[in-house]
Amino acid sequence: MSITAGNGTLTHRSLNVYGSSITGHLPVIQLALILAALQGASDTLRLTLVVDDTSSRATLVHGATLGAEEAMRTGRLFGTAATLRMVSAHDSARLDLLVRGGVPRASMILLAADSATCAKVAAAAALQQVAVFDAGCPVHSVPAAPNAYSLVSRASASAPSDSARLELWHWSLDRFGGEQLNQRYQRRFGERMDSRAWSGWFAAKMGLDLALRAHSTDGATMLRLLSSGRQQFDGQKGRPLYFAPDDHRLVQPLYRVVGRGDDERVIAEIAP
Amino acid sequence: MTTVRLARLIALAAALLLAPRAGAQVSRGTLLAFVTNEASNDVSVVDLDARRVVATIPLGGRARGVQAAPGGRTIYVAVSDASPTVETSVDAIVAIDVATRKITARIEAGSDPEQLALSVDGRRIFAANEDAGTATAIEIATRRTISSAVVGIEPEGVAASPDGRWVFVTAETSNSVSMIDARTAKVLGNVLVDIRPRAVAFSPDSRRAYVTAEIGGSVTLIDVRKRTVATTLPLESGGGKPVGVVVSPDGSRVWVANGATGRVSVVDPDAARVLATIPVGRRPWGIALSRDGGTLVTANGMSNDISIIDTKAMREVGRVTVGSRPWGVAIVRAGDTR
Repeated sequence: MSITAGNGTLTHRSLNVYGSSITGHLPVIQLALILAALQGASDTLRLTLVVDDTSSRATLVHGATLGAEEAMRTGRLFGTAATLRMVSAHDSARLDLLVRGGVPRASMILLAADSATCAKVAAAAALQQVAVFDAGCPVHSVPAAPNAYSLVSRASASAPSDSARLELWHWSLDRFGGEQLNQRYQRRFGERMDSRAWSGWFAAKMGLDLALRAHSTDGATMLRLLSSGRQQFDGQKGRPLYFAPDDHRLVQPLYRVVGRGDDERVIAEIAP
Repeated sequence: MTTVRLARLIALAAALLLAPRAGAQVSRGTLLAFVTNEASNDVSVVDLDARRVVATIPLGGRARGVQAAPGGRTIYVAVSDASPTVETSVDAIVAIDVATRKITARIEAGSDPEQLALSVDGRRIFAANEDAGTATAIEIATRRTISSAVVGIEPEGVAASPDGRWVFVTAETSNSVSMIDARTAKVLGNVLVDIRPRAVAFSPDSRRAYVTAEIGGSVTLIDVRKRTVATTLPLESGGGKPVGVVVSPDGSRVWVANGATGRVSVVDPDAARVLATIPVGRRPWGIALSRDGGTLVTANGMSNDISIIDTKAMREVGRVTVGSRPWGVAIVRAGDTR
């Protein structure tokens, strides 16, 4: 597998280096990063992740990377390749290319950036009829639109009423494949999977599932299937996940977590 | 001798020295259920006629997948350690002699073996290695791994077709069923099924395969010749979290264990509809049918028991307490020499 980054091509080993030190070297991702295994594939799912340069996005990037790698593995079974392209909110040239629908056009877009970038990309995606998924944009920066979806659920969008906090995921979850997912992530990046990492992983996994069921990696075709409201997804949470027809937020279990660091623990699962 | 090999030998010796904790004799022809208990790390041997546990066989590891060899004289159990990503001496397929209830072999099967299937001739074991994303074929006589095929992510259910042609492997994260040529070990196709597929079973004529989807809440019928999904049938309004599936000897009924609702769905595969649902214990996962199709057993993980079902009456006729968190079940007849 090769990874193209701007003017150069990194080896798989370089990706590991990149992955483990991404927090300290985020400018590196101002260039596009593409994970691809195109050999023998008849079709390519193009996942695009737009992030700004804050270290808090690092686990989202890691999660999306793991999700893209796993999407490649699954896609290979069905003759579909998967790529992950990361675009920095501060790389105006690449951002403009994305907004103009430059070739190759994205199959779906994952957004976690500042208000202006989120609004700009979401508006462009609406014109291009490509689904855009909010994974950490400021509130109301992604306007409601037929193509706009959110990985943040209603409950997690509001503050919890007590000292506990609500999370989309936790590293101690072990049922329904949670243990396996947590271990894959830990082994890949040497850190615990948090909510942002899960969002990135889930977005990539969902994207491939959508493409396989739509029999197409074309963004508009995938969006049509998603808009039908018939699709359910597995996120290793023990329940089928889906997007609410009214506000397009992901309907999913949440976890009430207390403590910090090694003392963190899930005290309750909040059913959707 | 490597440390790992030494550890394996010690594990085997320890297992061989561990005598069953109970050893009641049963008469020839008695129907026996071998139930794996993933929390108590053992196998309960249940006399289904007397409805009591007649032996408990300690395995020293997490016991899950279980299958009877075609002759009915040996039971194979997938045993793993606490970590799905680390291969230790505990990870193995263990062979249990039905007559003596003793462990006769411990066969390496890669990391974290969960489910297994046996070839029709009983000479090979096919195991899904969840962490590695592979399906392994092992020659029992030599205990050698003879092939390994790359399948989807988190492979789980394994079944060998009665005609000896296929091995099907489900993969929970990839939502896939890989169709492996049993002779060449090559993956000849993959079928996309409902979300989080768990178990798979073939029809007696090998023309259909039935796949449960835990999160999808359904059973999918695969047309084996066309390599496509024929239909997907929701069970328990999609909320049953189905896992175990077996097919009647004549192929006219498919029995599915719904873990979340504690009920077994009885499906008419030709009409693609649910004929009945039968209440059983809590969280039934493993399910097995007697060779004559008359007795069905579910392993109920949260009530620590098994349910015995009369398939003709389509109702539960008995409940037997077993070990802690029963997972899988296989049925044999004592003294079976077929």
